[in-house]
Amino acid sequence: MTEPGFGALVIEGLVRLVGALLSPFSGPSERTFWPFLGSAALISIGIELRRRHGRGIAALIHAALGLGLWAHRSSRLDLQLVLARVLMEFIGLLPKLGGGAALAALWVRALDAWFGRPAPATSPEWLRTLAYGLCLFVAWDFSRFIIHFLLHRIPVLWQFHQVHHSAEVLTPLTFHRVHPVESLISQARGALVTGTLAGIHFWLYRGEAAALTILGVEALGICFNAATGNLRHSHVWLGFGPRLEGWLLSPAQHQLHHSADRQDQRSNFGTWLACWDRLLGTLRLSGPRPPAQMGLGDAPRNHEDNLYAALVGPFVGAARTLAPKRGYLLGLLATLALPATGDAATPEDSPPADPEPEDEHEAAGEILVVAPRRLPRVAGSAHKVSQEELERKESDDIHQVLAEVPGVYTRNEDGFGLRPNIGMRGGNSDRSARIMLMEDGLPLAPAPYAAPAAYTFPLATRLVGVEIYKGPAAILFGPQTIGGALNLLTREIPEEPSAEIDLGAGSWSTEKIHGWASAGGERWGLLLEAAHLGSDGFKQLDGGGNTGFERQDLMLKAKVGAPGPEPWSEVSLKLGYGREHSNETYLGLSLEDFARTPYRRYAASALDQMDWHREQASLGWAVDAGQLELNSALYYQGLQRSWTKLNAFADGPDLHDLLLNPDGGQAAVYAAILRGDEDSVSADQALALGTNNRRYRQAGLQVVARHRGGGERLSHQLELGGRVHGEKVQRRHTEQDWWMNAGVLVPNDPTVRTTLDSDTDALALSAWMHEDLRLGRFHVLPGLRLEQIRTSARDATPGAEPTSSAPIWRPILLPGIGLSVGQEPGWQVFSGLHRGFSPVPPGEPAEASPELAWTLEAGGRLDPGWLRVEAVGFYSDYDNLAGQCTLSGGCTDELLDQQFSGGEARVWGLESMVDLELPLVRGLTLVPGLSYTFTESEFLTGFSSSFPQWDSVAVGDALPYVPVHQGAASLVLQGRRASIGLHGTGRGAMRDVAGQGEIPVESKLPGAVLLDLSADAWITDRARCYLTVTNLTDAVVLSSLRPYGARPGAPLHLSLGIKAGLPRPAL
Amino acid sequence: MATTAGERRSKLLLSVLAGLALAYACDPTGAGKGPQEVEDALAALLADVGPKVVRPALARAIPAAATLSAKTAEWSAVAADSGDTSAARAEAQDAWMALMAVWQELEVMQLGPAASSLTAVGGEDRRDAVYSWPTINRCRVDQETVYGEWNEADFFETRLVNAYGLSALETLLFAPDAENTCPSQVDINADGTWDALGEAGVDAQRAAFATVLAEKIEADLFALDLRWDPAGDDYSGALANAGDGSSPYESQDAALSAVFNALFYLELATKDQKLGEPLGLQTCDTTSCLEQVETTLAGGSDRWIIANLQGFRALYGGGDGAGVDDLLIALDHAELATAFTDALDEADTAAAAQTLPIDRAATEDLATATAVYEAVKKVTDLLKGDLATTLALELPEEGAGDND
Repeated sequence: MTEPGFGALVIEGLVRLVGALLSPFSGPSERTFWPFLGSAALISIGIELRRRHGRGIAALIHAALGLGLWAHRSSRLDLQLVLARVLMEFIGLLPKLGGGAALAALWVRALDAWFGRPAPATSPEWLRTLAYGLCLFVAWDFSRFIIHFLLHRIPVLWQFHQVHHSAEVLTPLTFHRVHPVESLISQARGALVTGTLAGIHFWLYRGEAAALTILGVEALGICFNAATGNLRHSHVWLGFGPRLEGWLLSPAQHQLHHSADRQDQRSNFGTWLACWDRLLGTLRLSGPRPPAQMGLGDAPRNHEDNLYAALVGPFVGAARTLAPKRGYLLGLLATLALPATGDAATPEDSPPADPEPEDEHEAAGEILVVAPRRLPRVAGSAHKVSQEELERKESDDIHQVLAEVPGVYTRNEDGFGLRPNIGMRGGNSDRSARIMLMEDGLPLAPAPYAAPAAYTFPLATRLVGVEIYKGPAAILFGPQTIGGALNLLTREIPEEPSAEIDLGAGSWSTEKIHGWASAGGERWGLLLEAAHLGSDGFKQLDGGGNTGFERQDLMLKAKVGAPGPEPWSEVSLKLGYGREHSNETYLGLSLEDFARTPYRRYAASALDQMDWHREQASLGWAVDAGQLELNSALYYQGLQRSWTKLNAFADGPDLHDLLLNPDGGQAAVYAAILRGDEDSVSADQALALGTNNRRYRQAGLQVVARHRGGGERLSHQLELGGRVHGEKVQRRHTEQDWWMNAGVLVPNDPTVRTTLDSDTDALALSAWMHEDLRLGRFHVLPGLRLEQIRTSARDATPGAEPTSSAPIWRPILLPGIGLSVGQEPGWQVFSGLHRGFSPVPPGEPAEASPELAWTLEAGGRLDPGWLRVEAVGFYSDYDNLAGQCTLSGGCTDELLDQQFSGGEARVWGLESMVDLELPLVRGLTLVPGLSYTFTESEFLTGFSSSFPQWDSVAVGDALPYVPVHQGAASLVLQGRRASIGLHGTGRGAMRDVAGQGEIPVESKLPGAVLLDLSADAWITDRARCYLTVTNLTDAVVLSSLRPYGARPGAPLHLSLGIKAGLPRPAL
Repeated sequence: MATTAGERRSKLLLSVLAGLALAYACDPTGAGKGPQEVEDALAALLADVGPKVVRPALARAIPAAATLSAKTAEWSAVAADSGDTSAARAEAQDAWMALMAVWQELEVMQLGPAASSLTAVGGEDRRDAVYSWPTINRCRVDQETVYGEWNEADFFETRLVNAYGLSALETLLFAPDAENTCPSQVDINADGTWDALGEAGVDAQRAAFATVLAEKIEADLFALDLRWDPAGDDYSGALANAGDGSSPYESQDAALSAVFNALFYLELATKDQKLGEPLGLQTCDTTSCLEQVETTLAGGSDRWIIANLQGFRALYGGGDGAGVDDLLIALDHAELATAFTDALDEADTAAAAQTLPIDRAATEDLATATAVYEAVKKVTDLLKGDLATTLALELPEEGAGDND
């Protein structure tokens, strides 16, 4: 079986989407099936020909097809509504009710039970067919009449049906101009009638006769549709004459029903047969001329001709209709109809300007805003590390950037932060795979669905902000929604041309060159940014050698905007390139060697090195029409990485086990080979160096619409988003044997073995909504995310049975809600509940369960301006805790990216922080800060697993790599021209393997306290020098025992730098 | 890690046993044995491993080691007198072969102190000290032969296992000539110290070194026996009393898993490393699998297969005590016990027909050697398949999914 390629996947997704969009025109059961439209056009032309009075062909066509009507704003809304309905059905927001098959089956069962099975029919089959078809036709027509009548006569239903009647011009598309609620009602009617009739018919004849169909559609109905169905909503005035119109409704009679005249509107409710209207006295004949005006005329209407209003306005209208008087419910729902006019938008609830729009827009970029030191307006806790804080620390390591954020666990395994391990709220920090990583609101992980483990990261030095979302806010940023989301913000193009250069140097020949320049103005902008970071490394390789790295990032941003009062729009382009060459290894030390020489690297790691390069591109389009914002981005990211490193002995002990116990028997020989103290003398003692080549590609289209508005008492901010995302991961892993000879690795065998040859891919359709509804001091923040994920995998590793898993679709619906009360600035108490999720990676069987959890948080903040105190309790109740294998986590190629289920588990804890700003004398400000996170975790089931970090789990075992205690403290003295800060971070011991009680030494990562110092001073108004000292006390930190042995954090590091370009900010 | 993997298997086994016991208790037909009988069979199996299996084998190995020690000393004495050492050396070689034949039975009994500290509960790597194959380094032995530091107090503490034990002794006893195995750049060749010894000097050094190594082996075997001796460290009791808190095994089932892990020697070492790979019947991970054949200098690799089978039979059957077969019968799987016996008999017959060392058989009589492989495979298939399924044992990672 040939697996579809990456392009084919994307194409498939697009084809499905296009297919859905075209569905109103591509099925014979649709009124607007294209041949029917064609027949309507031909009839129109024929009618025009009869009326032709010397006009040319073009004029005739123009008149016949009503071309002038299609550009009318009313027609635009027709089209928007049909697209909206189709899209909602496509992503599952609007259910498509079945044709009543289940109901029919119920009827058959019930009739059998009540009356028994009837005797076989003796009537001719043609008669049964005819009778069945007629019954269906009549029943459908009658039921449509009844529903239509009720839609007009019941006020609350009229609120929805008036969307159809607000059409001021009629085109065949007006048929689809219906509110989704009405659409559901119609579907329910059809299912009820069809199901009942089909059930009775089947009970009578046991399927020995079917209705007469054409193209699978009941024959009479399709004939009517093909003949004049599309002329009912058109400008073509076609009557049948007084006699016939008493039996069959003509297109003109239906157009009369669309008249702005209220009396006309209350006539001709039928579809095909006129008898129903005659019975009810609502039949009106068409007459010679069409009505003067279509639509609602002067009647009150609950919406304007825009999509949002047409979708939301009817709800408001319905609420008003249902509410006995203007009360709470009315007010609540009325806020949703902010652009509405007429009877829905009364002076007191019409939308004045949002109190914070400019601020939000400025900071928002492409995603929701969390202003620094402002109360976040998301459903849950959120933090932002601001540019100011980043510059104060001048850190080149993302771990240090996040150190003071409560609820975020980091583990710096290489000392430089090249491959960060970040987890949130108990989620495994391994390769940051359990959080949603983004850059400027777009996915950043190499393959967020198929392989979320992040082996690369943007250089921290070029970030201008980091947003951290936890709790219900995470559902805005799937697919990983349990722990939270991390959004890295890159530099925006400044309003005015500017530039900055940053030069730094430090211990271990560390060097930094970072600069950016921008040009442009109000209507356009260009930004070029480049950063280089390099170091010789702090580890000492046996036999000598460089253990450092070189990293470069390049980013180009361009934008063209159409600024103005409103609407404002901007097209932006972002291109990025990053690369790394690092002499990094997975090989650590035995615990004994670590205690003696923690920064040593064994000779067997001498050839280990990582190379990767990444390309990014995104094309964005943003529109700001005041209350409505639209952000869309087409994005691509490609990552090619190749890590050559020691994997194992050709046939020796597992390296992880060996380094935990390197002194006994044969193990000591192998350990001596790693150190270069002993030569390899047999094939089993060869060192297998693997080159793990992987290529990740992802592309997608993300569209986010936001609407906000309201007044001082009531306001709302609604976000609706959708994303089509495809990704492909190709893995080509090879191995070659090398021998240790006199402390040097020498090639032993030119044979290069392929140890893994696999492709995996994922296609994901996502949709989400998030609403922030404010009533005075209260916020209600419901959210909902839908992920529809398709995965497939192929494994063609030589020597193994080729496998190819059929594509599997997995849908998941993730609700969340937040509640808060408070005032800004001041205080806030909040709580949230949401469904956390982590997708099943490709290649897993269809029955594999994703990681799922209900997560609850509750907390409060105090923020009077000079002080911020926050405490949040969280509780995650896992239905199924999942572990995903990575090599860094200790897995082998065979288990790579496989998911393991850990069953039920729970994680709970407390996050707290205090920030202060204490003005002192002479412009000095003291800024102390404290944060503390307490986390407890436990498995609720016992099991055995091949996942190395779980192994043999007993009930009550704590999760690995989750420290119970973690905290940070900082003290910054800020002056007008200089500042100095002391930052301390500490964390308790962590387990390498799940367990409880005292942590065994071989799986214990001891607690650590680190102190960093940062200082800077403005030497001119445009130049600033800075000093950073990390690990001030030169503490030795054991940062990882995986995958092979103990690896250290970085020792004391000192660096000096100068930044020049931007003027000193006024304090 | 392997310790916990063993525990994992134990937990699985425990649950299976509990399930089986419950099923038997509820069996209205009474066709199966009662749960008490299963528990008794398990307890007897564990209690008999030390006194009925391991110690009897050690009891034969220790005198063989003493003989080897004496013979190497005689060889050394003759060499020191500059006499013709060929006869004394031949006697020492015979003694080595005799000890090796017993030791190859003990190879299958790597549980507790003899087992690897990396992978087994109670592992102390004592097996590696006696016999470190396949981790051998003949050049290292040649180097030590020249250095002559074996009388230093910390000699064995500062050397790796590839410098001593039965494999090192093989190099000393069976080296075909007075040449060394080291490349020219290695110190003993580069600085001429090997050549300076001369043929007689090499022989004398080898004999002296062999004497020390043989004494060490004798002492190690004695110490190993003491670890099992109820009057000594009583590891036999640790197995018998598994799960009582003082034992390193947290449960009887953990101890049973240790027994099964030891039995897997027949699969991983005998079948794969000693037969399948050198014979080309399995894909070899390396390009020189024939070099991996055991005791290529001394020969006898065919005999070691027979000894391995004997050791397996002893551990499986519990010697003259209770064994896995009795447990199977108690679990109402007598047919599986019979199948094991039949397969072992067949393997013994096939192995007896194999008269060439494996490296020679690979080129001269592949058919016979293949028959041995196939016969051994029948035993290990039962071990991996039926028995593992029956007892719901998880396979050791190296044993699962090989390319049989």
